[in-house]
This record gives sequence, structure tokens and C-alpha cells, in this order.
Amino acid sequence: MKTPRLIDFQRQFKTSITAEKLSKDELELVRGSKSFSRSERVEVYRYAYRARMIEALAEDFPRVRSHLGNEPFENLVMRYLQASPSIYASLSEISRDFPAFVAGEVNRDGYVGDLARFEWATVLVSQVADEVLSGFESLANLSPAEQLTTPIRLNAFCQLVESEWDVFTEIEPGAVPKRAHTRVIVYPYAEEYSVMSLSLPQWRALNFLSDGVTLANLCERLTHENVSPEEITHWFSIWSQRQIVCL
Amino acid sequence: MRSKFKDLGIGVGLRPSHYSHFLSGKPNSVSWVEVITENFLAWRDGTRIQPLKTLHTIRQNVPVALHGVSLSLGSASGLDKSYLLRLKQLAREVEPLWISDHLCWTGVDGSNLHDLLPLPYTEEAVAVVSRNISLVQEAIGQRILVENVSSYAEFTHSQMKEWEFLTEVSKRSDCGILLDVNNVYVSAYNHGFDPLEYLNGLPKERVGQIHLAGHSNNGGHLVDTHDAPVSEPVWDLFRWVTENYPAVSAMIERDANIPDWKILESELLRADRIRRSIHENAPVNRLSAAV
Repeated sequence: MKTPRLIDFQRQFKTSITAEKLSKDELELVRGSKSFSRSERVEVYRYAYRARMIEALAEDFPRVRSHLGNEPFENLVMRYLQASPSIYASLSEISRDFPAFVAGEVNRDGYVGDLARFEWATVLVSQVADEVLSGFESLANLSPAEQLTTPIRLNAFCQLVESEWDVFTEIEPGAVPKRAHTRVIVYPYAEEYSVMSLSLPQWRALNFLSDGVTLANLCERLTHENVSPEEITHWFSIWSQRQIVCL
Repeated sequence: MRSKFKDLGIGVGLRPSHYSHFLSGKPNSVSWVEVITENFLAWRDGTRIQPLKTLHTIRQNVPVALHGVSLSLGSASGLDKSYLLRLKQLAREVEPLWISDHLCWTGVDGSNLHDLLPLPYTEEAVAVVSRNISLVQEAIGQRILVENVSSYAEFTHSQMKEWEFLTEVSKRSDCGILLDVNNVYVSAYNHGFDPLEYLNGLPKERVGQIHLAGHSNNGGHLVDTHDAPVSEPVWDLFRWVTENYPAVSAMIERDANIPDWKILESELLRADRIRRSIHENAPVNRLSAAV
């Protein structure tokens, strides 16, 4: 048999591992033995690939898996990897495109896609929860007058999630999800994450803060929301205590 | 015969469940630790998702080596330049004892299968791997260690034995070798070769570090699962290596069914006792000396 070029060999072996079924032609390159056949040898790699990927995504999306059931979830993962093979160095990164894929693939009025988006937000926040963040102490030290004029921003490690579904409340496998407009912020808390529900004006305020604005400017922007400056100041005090906003 | 690398004694593959033992000090049984590079590497888009705070705290208490799983040194489509840049940045921040990765490929054409895939042992593969290692060493400005992997498949077009391949690659690229004794045993079992032939065939002075780990027996073959204690045949091989190789840093990897620290520590102490029974001048791990 002609010696294949390394690149051709690698493309072929990759197909052997990732394809739904293993073809006989792909076994020709592998040496077998009585106790450990060619196909068994390739199956070790095929099984490990499937198991590793499913485990990684199941760890990040436990509620999506629970909602869909094990087998449909596993099939969804394999379809995802066929559509978006990992180009990432770390397994922890392969989940990042999964919520968008789920949204396009699982047509249940968007619930599963939104749930995946919410779970991914919690993963991102948990990963950074023990990071040292700057700008909080100095925010607490500002006088009320200084707070009005100093630009304040949303902590970049927080994640804002909006959905037509109550993705925050866990439901039993197979139960019908509740339709309810949900706006939450996922923020680092006690080396994990916490979730806070938001009203529409609060949601808007935190979105304004993504760019960094002063409290005075924020009050001005929210004048149409029927929110008093005292209310906004109160939110600010809670958000700065929870390190949701910083300088 | 002397190794080209410094012997630091016994280390451990540090995993999150044991971080607490290294955050406020260091167990006496361990002189250094190895962490997985990808757990601390910035993401492709620059996001630093895994903060370095924990790692910086740990390295104040114990020297750290970086061990990667995604360099894909055997990839015929070339190295991932973004990975290399991020590795360089991480190495600048962490100042590791050394950097290691595997004699394998993990993907081709930019994809990553997240597995340590075996190479065909051909002249072309020697050239590809040696060139890739040289590029890495140039980019990060230091010699790396390359680890033999456990394998379940060998290929009909291989032209040499695995140890001949590793020897040739290490000489051509002037890299070091991270000798995984468990991987030698697993591959020897799966492919029917004599592990001592393998160990006798390597350039001993190039070995800079030793890995020990456990495996699973799946009937007709062994799988490198890192989920069990080091097996007795692997301890026997480690003793042989210790007797026949220059003294180098050695450690135990455990990635699943990770036991309590005390249990893992008893294995580390066993490794230390074997080393000290053979190399009188081996660095003394204090707890072991007190036993």
C-alpha cells in the first residue's frame, strides 16, 4: 500500500473518529491483533471523542440536558460538533457557540435556546468569580456628590440575560416551561454566581452602564421611565454592594 | 550519565480539588507542581476566563511547571499561531519551571478533537514534529519537554518503532523528553512490545521529567484513564527507570476519581522512597524523610 502523506492520513483518521459510522476503508491504515482488533482500536478513539464532548457540554448545560433528555441532548451535541468542530485549545471553550446553535436547532418557541444562553451566562460568571476586581472600594468611598459626577460602569464579568421564558426557575424534566418575560443579571458572588431579577427600567439602566455613565446622566436617561432619582440611587447602592457596578 | 535537566524531586499534577493544600503553604511531600496549561490560557479572542489569581498564589508557595494538551506538535497542517502567542504570554506571567506537551496531534486544518492522537512513525512525521517543536521553542525562547502518549492504534505505514521516532525527534529538535512510564506500559500492552526495549532505546540524558499514573484494564486492552492508583507493573518500571536513568523530577497525575490528598500523598511518598533508595543524593522530601 502506498504511504499516505501525513496530512491526508490525519484528515482520514479524523473522519474515522468523528463520522457517525466507521467505514471499512478507514480501518486499512490500522494494525490489529487477535485480542484487540482494528475496529476496536479505532472505537477507543471514537468513544473517547463522543464521551469527552458530551461530558463537557453536559457539565455546562445540565438543565438543557435534563429538559431534552439524555439521548436527544447527546444527538444535539454531536450535530453541533459536526456543524461547528472545535477550533479551541480548551474544552471549556467549546460551549461558547452552543446556545446559538441550540436556538437555531431546537424549535420550542425559543425556550431551550434561551435556557442554554442563561446557563452559559452562569458558567462564564462562575469562571471569573474568584478574580480580583478593581474599582469597587473606590466606588464605596465616593461621596454622594462625587457619585453623581463620576462615570460608573457595569462590572464586565456580569452577564445580562433577557428571555420571553422563565429560564431562571428550574422545572421538572418534561414539564412545560412557563412563558414570562424575564430579565436577569448574573453576577459573581461568593466564588460562584448569583442571579438578580430586574425590572425593565433597571434592565435599561444596566445596559446604559455597559458604556460607563454618571449617576446624573443615568437619571436623565431614565426620566421617561417614571423612576425617581431616589430610586435610582437606591439601586446603585445595592448594585455597588454586590459589585455589579464599579468605577 | 547526567540529565540535561535539574532534579527537583517529587511533584504532583495539581488539580482544583487539591488547590487548598497549596494556597496557604505547601505539603512537605511535594517539591513542585504541574498544572494544565489550557486551564489558564486566555481564550482565542483574548478573554481571560480563567483568572490567574489562584495560580499566582500557588506559585508563591511552590514552583510550577506548565503541561499542555493542545499544542498538536504532530499536526501536518502546522501549529496554531494564536495558541502559541497565548502560551508565550502565559509563560511570561507564570515563569514556569518548564513547559511540556505531547508527542501527538490533536487535530488538523485548525480543528481540535481534544484527544492525544497517535502518529504514524514515518520519516515525514519526524520532519513535521521536529519542525513544529523547533518553532515552539523559538517562539517561547526555551527548550520544551515532549511526552510519549498512551496509544491504542499503530499504523500499517509506520517505518520505525515509537522509541526510535521519539529519539530522532528529540535529537533533531533538541527538545527534552517527558517520560510517562504508565504510557509506556499501556502502549506496550496494547501493541505487544517489551517496555524495557522502549526504555532502553531512549536517549536517557534527554529525559527531564517522569510521569506516573494509573490506567484501566478493558479486557483486551489498557486505557490511560488516570483514574486509579499507579499499578504494580508501573511501579516496577519506575524502579527500573530510576536505577537506569539519571535522577530527574518525577510526579503522579490523577484526573478522575481524585482521592483525598492524604491518599495521593501516600503514593507520592512511595515514589520518593524508591528514588531515595537508588539515588542517594536525590532531593529529600521532608515528610518522606521523617517516615
